[in-house]
Amino acid sequence: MSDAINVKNISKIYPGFTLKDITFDLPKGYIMGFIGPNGAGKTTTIKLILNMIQRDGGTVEVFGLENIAHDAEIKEQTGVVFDNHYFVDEWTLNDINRVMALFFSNWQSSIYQKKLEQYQLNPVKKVKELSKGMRLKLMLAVAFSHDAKLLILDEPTSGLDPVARDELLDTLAEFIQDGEHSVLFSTHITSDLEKVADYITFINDGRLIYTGIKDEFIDSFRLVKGGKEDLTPDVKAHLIGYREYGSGFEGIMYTEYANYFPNLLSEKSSIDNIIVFTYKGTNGL
Amino acid sequence: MKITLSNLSGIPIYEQIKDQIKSQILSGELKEGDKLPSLRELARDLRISVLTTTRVYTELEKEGFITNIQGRGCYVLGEGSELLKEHMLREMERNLSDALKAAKIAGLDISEVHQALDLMNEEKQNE
Amino acid sequence: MKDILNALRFNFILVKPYLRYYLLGFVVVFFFKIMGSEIDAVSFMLFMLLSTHLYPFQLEEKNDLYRLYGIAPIKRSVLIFGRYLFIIVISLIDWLLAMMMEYAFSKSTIIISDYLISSLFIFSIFLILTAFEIPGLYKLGVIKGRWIVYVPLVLMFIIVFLADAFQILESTSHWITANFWLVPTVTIIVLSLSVSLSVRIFNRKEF
Repeated sequence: MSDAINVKNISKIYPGFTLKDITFDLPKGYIMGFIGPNGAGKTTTIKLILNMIQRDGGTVEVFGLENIAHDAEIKEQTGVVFDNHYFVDEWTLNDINRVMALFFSNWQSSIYQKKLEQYQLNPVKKVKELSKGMRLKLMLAVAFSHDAKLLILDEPTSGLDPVARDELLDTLAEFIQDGEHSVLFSTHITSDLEKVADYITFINDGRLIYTGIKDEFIDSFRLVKGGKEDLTPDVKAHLIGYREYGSGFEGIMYTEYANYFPNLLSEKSSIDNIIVFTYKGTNGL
Repeated sequence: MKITLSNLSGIPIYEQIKDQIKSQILSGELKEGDKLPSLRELARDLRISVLTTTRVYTELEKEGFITNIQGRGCYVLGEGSELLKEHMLREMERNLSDALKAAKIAGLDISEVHQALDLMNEEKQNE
Repeated sequence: MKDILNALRFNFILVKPYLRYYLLGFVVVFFFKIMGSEIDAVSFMLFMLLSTHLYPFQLEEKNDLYRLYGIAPIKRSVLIFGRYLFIIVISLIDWLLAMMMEYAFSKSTIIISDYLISSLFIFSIFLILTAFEIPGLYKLGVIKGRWIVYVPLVLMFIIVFLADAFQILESTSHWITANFWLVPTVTIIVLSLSVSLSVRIFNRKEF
């Protein structure tokens, strides 16, 4: 078994939104950044992987196991972090220890307590008394206390200061050290991923735009700039998305197309720009 | 082993790491038999992707600078390495070809090129 | 089995913030009894207990605990069994306490066997009403579902009222006493149907 997650052609139909044909693989031992603008379908995809909502098509395997038939087995080894805690806010951190021991057969109380100490979380405090950063650490403490081999994070860093985000990256890099642990990290703060992510899956408006090695992802796009007169219909046809301003324009193009237009300034793009311009392009902005 | 990365230089990260390791091996800072940090340790320390460090080590191994011993890690190969010799030979040929091109543009003939080469060699011996 | 017991224990930790409200019925009845009231402790306490069924659901909804259920390696049906077991355990404790209080404060002598039969009958009615309420709460949520218990309750009062009006109330109660085995049987059947309905509803729920 060499993959942590295999997702193939999964889809989900909602009244106002459709997720269709999302396919990607996360090899064991690596970090995958899952990116896309708000509303692209990242949380829906994660919920499909976790079997929290019913899928309308496709297959999902985690650790090589079909995710519905082996739901409990998979979840014993999967740690999840959401953008907000999933506990009763009146519970103390000790209560969480008791609850998790009831749900996870390999729950290690001693590790949980050690993690609370390490993260400087007071066990008698109630969940509602914790700051955003502490809640993230709490969810990580829980994830690490039942020997999770896969960590799934859904927008964990919105609302966190740069120091906390930095600490999280360190934690994730440490987590995958032995090559047996994997991370799926959905975020719209892509500067975090620009550094540590090995793979990127990029979705927009319920569709898969790219999945593969992060370095290759960045290399397949170019940020092109030019003057007003350079924005010919031919150029426009090859732009994924662009923005016009007073003296010219800038936009995103696939690298091979950018080579057709040597008159344009072409440079390596940040992941953010790729997302922003793809979004603009889809929405006719 | 010392690696310093620049995000602004425009040079791909993996190339920067490769060049810095190579030059440290060639300068002797990294000696034959020295153990390099593991792929994952390096990725964690430099805050980069594990796939990037994998690419660096794979290419360095192909070029004969390091060797990967299964289960033990990556070690620096010394100047006795055949692969390294071959690689450096090709590099020398490339540099000589560049030198000849430059000489032609400057209007120098082959004996002047020989002279310059001998002079440079003397200076290097005296260093 | 162990799973279901864990789910039961989980419910006790879940309702921790509302624990005091469970005791409210007991305190109110105790107060009435001290004041000399003749109200039937069992009926009153069980009636008050009907509204406490909301608490675990309220806490789930308020805290979006479905995400916890979604990531925990526990089957949804086991969570349902745990919830029903929790309600039955709480109700049994409440029922026993009510009967003890009734006995402690009784002014006239009670024929134990008669009293137990009527008390058991009330408890069974309570369980049947509960069996209606729980699937309603799973399907409609707390805000809409809380009224669902009152529909069979009102129906019940209407039936009793009509039976009284047509003067068949006494003959009916005699018949029930004579065939009392029907009471727990019907209760168990209704509860089982309720559980399977709740399981079906909860399995389809999107977390």
